[in-house]
Amino acid sequence: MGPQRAVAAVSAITSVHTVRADYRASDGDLVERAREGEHGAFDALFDRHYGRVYGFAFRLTHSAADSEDIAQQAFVRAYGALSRIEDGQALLRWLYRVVVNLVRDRAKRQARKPWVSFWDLRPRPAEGGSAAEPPEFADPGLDPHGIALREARSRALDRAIARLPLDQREVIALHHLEGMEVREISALLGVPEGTVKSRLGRARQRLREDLAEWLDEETTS
Amino acid sequence: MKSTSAECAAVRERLSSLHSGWLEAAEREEVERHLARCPACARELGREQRLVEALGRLPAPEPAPAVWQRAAVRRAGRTFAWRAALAVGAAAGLLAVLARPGTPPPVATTASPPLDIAAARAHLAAGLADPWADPNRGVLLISARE
Repeated sequence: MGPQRAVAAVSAITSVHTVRADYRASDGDLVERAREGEHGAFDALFDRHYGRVYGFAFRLTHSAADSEDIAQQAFVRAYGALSRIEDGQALLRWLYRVVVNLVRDRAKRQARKPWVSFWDLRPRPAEGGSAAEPPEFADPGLDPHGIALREARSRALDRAIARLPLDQREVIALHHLEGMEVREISALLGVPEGTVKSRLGRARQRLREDLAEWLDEETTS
Repeated sequence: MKSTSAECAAVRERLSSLHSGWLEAAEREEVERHLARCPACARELGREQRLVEALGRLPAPEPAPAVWQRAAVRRAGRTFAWRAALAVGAAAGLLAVLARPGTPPPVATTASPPLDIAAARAHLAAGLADPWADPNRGVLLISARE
């Protein structure tokens, strides 16, 4: 092999890793290719799932900074565990499980909810507080359009979810926001299906109590 | 029969299960009988329905553009490190190919500067305290051996 052929071979070795992986490939295929050393495959998985993993972390923490850090850690762990991920097709669920564990670890370490705002510390309606929105959302006149009203209500619902205990937030996020079935959540969290259902029931009852006023308004708006 | 608060509390705990179809037939009928005669709990079931609809409409939190940018930079950093490792390995392979028997490695052909004996003698004559500190010490030593 002459120098020119050697240089061509080196160029081929390095350039094959600069080619982006096929974004239409399944998760399972990309995980397999990433295991074999095709770096672009893991990049494709990152691009595909980072937003959802961040969003799920945000549902649990209600903190953009924590969510960014947790999502990043989840992907770093996935990268290090590629050889141990049995079902590449279920990568997203694997990532969600890592997020749940990271959030629980943080909650234990901090022993408080760092994402609770002053508004969140007010008494709940069931405890004698008011379900009225904070001033910036309280007056429907400030949000004359339906879109703005829905946005305000989404924020109210977000806040109410953030006030739930962590175990209830987890099931609400997984079932209602990520669209997972009770059976799948049971497997992901490692708890019986009955436990998932009872947590969902308690969470929704608490949300109904917190949001009773605007849930009643929903019928008239 | 008028509903008691304890009965209402027990029914409200099961409204989500009723709505999701998780109750056994007997339990479901019991709750439905209560709802038929208790307007307050029936209204609560309406809230449950609207809550589930609202949860379904809740937009997913999206990373802000700055978050995406930082994530991309971190990923690019990792990619760069990976490619740098590959490039080093490839360069080592290239050297191994070039250095194999029968292929003489390239030799540096930079010519050494000519010795300036006169300058060396001038330095010695000047009586430098520390000839090792002088950039021309190689010349000096050669001169000293003469």
